[in-house]
Amino acid sequence: MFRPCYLMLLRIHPRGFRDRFAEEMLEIYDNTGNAGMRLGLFLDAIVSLGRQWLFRPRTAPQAAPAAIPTNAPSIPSFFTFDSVSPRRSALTHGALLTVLCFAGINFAISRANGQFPRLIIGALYPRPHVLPVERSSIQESEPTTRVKVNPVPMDPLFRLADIYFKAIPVLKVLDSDGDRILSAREMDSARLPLTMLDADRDGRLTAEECGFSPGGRFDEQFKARMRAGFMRMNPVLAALDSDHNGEISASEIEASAVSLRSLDKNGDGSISPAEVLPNAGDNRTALIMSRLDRDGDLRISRQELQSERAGPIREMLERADQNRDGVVTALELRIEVGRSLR
Amino acid sequence: MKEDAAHFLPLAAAPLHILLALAGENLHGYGIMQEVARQSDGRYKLGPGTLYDNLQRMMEQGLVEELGRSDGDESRRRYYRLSALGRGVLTAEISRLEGVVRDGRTRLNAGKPRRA
Repeated sequence: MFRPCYLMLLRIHPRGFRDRFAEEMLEIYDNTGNAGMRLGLFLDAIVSLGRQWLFRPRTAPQAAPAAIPTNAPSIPSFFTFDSVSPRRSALTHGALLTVLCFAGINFAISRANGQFPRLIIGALYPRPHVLPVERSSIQESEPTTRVKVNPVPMDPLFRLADIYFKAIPVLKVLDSDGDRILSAREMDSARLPLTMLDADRDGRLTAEECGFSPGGRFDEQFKARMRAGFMRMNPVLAALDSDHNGEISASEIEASAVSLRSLDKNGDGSISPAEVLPNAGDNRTALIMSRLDRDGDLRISRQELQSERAGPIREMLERADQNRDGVVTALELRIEVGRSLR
Repeated sequence: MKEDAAHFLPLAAAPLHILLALAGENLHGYGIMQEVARQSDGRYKLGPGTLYDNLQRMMEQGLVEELGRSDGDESRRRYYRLSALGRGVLTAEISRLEGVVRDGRTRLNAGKPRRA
């Protein structure tokens, strides 16, 4: 019963071994009458099979051509000098070692916190074009681009901007070259990438299409306030949503180049990470307003001030009411928030 | 030759038994298996896979030589014999084992409690 299996086992041995010893092994098997001993031979052949493929060099000579063909110069030919192929185990170990080395180097780079010798640009920056470029050094007439590597690669602001740009789809599509700086060219051509974000093709961008995700079950009224807050607290969205109605309309998309230029505070023609990152004070103000300003008039009225939601921060709101009229405007709140953050 | 032989020592059980089996006469694979079983009183049994794997390696190392098929033998059996290097290696291994046995005996005798 085991003979066909035994024969098959012999056939799947490496060719060199099989050609030389398979016949004799089969004869030994045939001469063994005891079923128990045959089972032993069967197991022995399995072990031999593994040993031959894993630990022994294959000695079958390669069929080398008699002469290298010279009449076909366009066809590359490869020949090895050695007739013995490397062991499978050696190849496996080599592959494993390569993976371990690669993983080790990557781990070292990731843990080096910028101290790793700057030999591999791709290791320090996700993409070569993410290298901070000294823009003032670039002139239109220059045929080459001078690249300046910061003394400390991936400074915290740049790292933060990198995360922020990935989180806000509008910034992600506007920053077409991925350098985390919105150049004049990117601002001028902002209309097309913004249109691409319009998933439902209704000609306008909702807060959801701009990256808003409430991530929980909230009533619609509260969600609307969160939506408005999201559009207000992200400077680039606030700039694009010029009428502050919580969405970027078709006309606002058309005027996006002009709106974006309002973020260029230092007037260098581009928007740097410092100009696009949301301000902590603004964020907190927008968050409080989204929670308490139920009628959306950008003021916290007496009634809103007395609501249950205002309870934990009522003291701060009372301090914010500078003119003691019982109403806290967005500006008063921003001043008080700024004071509390200092 | 001595230096060459020392390179192979100590021998594992299978090569040692194969060399011992071939030391007396030229044998085919099945004969080697039977001779190994006889020498060890049936306590050490070589399977054909282990045998031919070792024979292949020992032939590559020059310890064993293949003689081909015997004239009168119509079966598929090939005969193998010990090479000069193989004989040298076996001699060196036996000397080494003798040293181990001698040393072992000396130590055991030294550790025996003496009668008062």
